[in-house]
Amino acid sequence: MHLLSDASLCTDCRICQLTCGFAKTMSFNPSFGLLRIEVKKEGLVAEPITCRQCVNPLCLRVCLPGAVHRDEDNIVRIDPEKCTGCGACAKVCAYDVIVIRDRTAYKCDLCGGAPKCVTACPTRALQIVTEANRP
Amino acid sequence: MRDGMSYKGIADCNGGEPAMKGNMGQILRIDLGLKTARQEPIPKDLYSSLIGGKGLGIKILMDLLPPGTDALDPANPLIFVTGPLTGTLAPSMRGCLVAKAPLTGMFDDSYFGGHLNQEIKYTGHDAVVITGKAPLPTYLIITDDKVEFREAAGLWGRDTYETCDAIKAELGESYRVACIGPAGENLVKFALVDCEPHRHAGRGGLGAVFGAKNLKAVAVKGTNGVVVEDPAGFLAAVDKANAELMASTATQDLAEYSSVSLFPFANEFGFFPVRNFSDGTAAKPEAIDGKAHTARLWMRHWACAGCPIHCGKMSYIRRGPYAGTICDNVEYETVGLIGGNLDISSLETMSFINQTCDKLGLDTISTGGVVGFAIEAFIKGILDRDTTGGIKLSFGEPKGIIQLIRKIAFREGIGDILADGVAAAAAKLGRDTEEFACQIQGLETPAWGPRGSAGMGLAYLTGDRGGCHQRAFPIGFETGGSWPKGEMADGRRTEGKGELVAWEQNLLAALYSLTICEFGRSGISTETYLELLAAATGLSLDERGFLLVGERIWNLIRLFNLREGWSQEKSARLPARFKDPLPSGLMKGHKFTDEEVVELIGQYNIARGWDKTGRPEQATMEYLGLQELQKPVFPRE
Repeated sequence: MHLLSDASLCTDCRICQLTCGFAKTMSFNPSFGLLRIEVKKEGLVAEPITCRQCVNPLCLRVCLPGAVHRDEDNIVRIDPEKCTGCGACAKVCAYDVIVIRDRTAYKCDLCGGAPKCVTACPTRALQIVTEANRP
Repeated sequence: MRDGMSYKGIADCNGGEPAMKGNMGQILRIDLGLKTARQEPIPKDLYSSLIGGKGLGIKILMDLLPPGTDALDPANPLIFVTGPLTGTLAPSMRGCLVAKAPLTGMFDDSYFGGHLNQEIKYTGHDAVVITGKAPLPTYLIITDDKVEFREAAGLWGRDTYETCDAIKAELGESYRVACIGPAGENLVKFALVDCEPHRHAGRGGLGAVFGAKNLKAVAVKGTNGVVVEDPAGFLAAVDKANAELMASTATQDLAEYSSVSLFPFANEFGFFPVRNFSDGTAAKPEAIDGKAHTARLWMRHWACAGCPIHCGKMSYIRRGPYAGTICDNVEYETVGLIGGNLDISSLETMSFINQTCDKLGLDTISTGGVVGFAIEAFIKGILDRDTTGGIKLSFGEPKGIIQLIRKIAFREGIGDILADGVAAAAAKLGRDTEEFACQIQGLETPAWGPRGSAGMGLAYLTGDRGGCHQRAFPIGFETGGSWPKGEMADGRRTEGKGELVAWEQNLLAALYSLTICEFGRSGISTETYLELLAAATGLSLDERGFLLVGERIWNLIRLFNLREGWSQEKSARLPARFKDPLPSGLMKGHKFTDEEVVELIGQYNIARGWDKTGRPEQATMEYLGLQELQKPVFPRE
């Protein structure tokens, strides 16, 4: 299971980022959100970039302390107890959606299965995709 | 790799003294001449008496501007001000830029959408205040509490789109940019400030205040978070506000068609400006309404920060000489002033002229007013090809119109006279041109011609930043709505209008202290705004207390305007155009007489507790606590 976005529907309102950031930090700033929005084509397109819970997670590969791991639900998680905040995972992330805050790395954990960003998006530009078609 | 950040608790932002939550507790003061920056705390009681936004803006302006200072003097402070809900999930909040306006010489609070003001708050400040003048073209980089002054010689002369793109290429996508175009550099008195992504602090000429400071742009990045007093209560209030927006047909019309959804109504009643306000209805409404926009131009919806309405529309011009242009759609005001007022009925041409104004950094409302005035003067023989530098001006002819707009932005030839606004241009041209100079209190009239709405006329005559439609909108109550005291007489009658206008101005002033967007108000109730405020800050107000804050702010601004030379006798006047009968629409035949104007202003002054000259009476000063509020809190030096 992972998040996918439809750039044709995104309005660049950043409600997804604010919602995610608030869920994780109890404070508001879209840059605290564990997804981001890329604006392109002279503002014509806004594309939400989400964590894909990669089949080959680069973040997991580079994590020396073993903080990044895949759980039984196939969600790639970061154990804050083991994380040293070195930033290697954020550096290699294919989608640039890992955030380092207060010397700890944070990534999308799908809110345990019911992602708040998906519910919050006013135009349904975000959706949950299941693993059925994955190799 | 994404930028790292470290969340600072709110106490860290205020010298250890916790601020009222929802706020950051301090302002950032920048002096361009001295190249200094410092933080100053905001006393907690200011939040209780003025809340933030518009209220905090007038307080800072009143304290910092030496009385009688010209708007283009380096001492005029540019105040980017936020409110307690800015940058949170509270839906539909905007930004606010306050200064003394070059165009009117009055207080100006110009609201803008987009993402800039939210970013300003994330720097850890409720307001960023810029004074002084840089010796050379400069742009500012604000990263939290760090301020850098960078040379902008390479940016000077470039348009707003190029400037924003160049700065973002230099600093990275995470910075948000405000900038001016050539119009601001050339001190055009209706130059705008472009706030990323191309939303505008449009009215009153604050772009010229940037220009007068040699300030080309401000780039902002903030890594602080906004915390609220009662998180669960706050999220519940956000849900309630969103549900109200979803349930409102007016909001859903805005979501579908942008503010252009207001056009059929305006056109039916005769409020729509046509050919320099000589008429009130467009000949072919179906060519320029919301459905036509959707069919010909629309590509996708676009929204400001944290706003579910998405009234913004991105467009792509498919046909004609401007094919291939990616642009914002034209919202209602621009359809009115560039479309109807200049008799342009091609949406593609309108969109292109709109973007031309945006790039040059010109307010489309004032530009449409000024150009409409110039065309009428040309038709009447007051201007000719000699005075326009060879340009033939006529309604509906885009070529001459675009040439004239460029001359205004660069102050070339006739453009230099027009760049000071219609009031000043009419004074210079003479020959009774003031009769068709459509401005009230120095501000070019927006796309709601006042004929057919006595209340709107009064709102224009008493607006705190000049004749603006966003300080009260009595039309809504005169065309079938009711207000708290019951039914309202229709727009052709004067009774009850003084009280109505004063009440709505107070309510809007209070709402603007939260930096709301009026489109949010199309759905969100005052009660819900107060729930959001209480949950964010702990400041619990009932509607009466909230209206009192608005009244306090409104009175403070009147005192400021009087201090800066505003007088009712000199400023609260209507041009002759609005004293001729409205030629068409449901309100056909309505006009303002001098007696009605006197009657309306008289009613209004009584409702406000002001004397016959429009000055707050002693008793009004006392119950609003205005003496105390006028004592300086923020030092000038």
